[in-house]
Amino acid sequence: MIQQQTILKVADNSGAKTVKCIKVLGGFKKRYAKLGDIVVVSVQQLRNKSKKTSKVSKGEVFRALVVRTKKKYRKKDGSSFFLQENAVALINKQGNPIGTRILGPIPKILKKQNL
Amino acid sequence: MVIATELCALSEYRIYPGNGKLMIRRDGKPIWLGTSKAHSLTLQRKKAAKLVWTQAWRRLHKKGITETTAKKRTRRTNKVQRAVVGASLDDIKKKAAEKSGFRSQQREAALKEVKARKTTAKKGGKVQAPKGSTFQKVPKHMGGKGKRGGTQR
Repeated sequence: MIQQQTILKVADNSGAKTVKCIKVLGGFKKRYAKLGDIVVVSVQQLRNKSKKTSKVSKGEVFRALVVRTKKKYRKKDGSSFFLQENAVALINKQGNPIGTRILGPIPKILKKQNL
Repeated sequence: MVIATELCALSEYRIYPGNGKLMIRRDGKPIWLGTSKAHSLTLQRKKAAKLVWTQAWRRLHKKGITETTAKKRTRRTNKVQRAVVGASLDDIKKKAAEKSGFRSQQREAALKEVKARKTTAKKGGKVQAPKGSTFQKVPKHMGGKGKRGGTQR
């Protein structure tokens, strides 16, 4: 359940540490983004070590794919799971990832989409 | 129908489909939690071994195990002697009760008799029937249940 102003962690090595969600894409007045949705984010913090080698800079606006949510995701058989943090992976407008590696656990459901 | 159930990570109760939550930790390990009670306690980082109602505590304090171990000792199967088509139970018991040398003795005696008869036949030409044999003549190729097995058909 990620909405505007939500601060999210970044799960790839693009150089950003945290981002803030600006907009939830996918519909008119769509309020919440869940696993697998795309949001527009603005970079808030960078990972310290990669100031020079990061591909993004503070304040840049990107699109991002939600990869981890604390909110339970329900499967069709009734089981549900949740992760311990809200995280995204940065994408460009064409849908290709900006980073080259993704860190941390990611649910299988995202396989059905891209990435 | 066999349903795949999970075990709760805290209490080790069974989780049936549709119940419980799967918590995926930061390192990627999935932890099944059966109830909101278990969920709340794991968030508080309580140890299962310290909560009295969990199976982990019961194992540590050895509750409820002694019954199952005591039962296992009293099982013993008794061998039952059964009658076979060729011989009844009594026959089997008799044969089993014979002393070890008995049958071989019988065989030797029978052999001797046969030899004696042959020699008398050579000498006298008459074959003398054995007088009232006190023992049962055991033919050579039959018997020896334990040693030879049934070769006669």
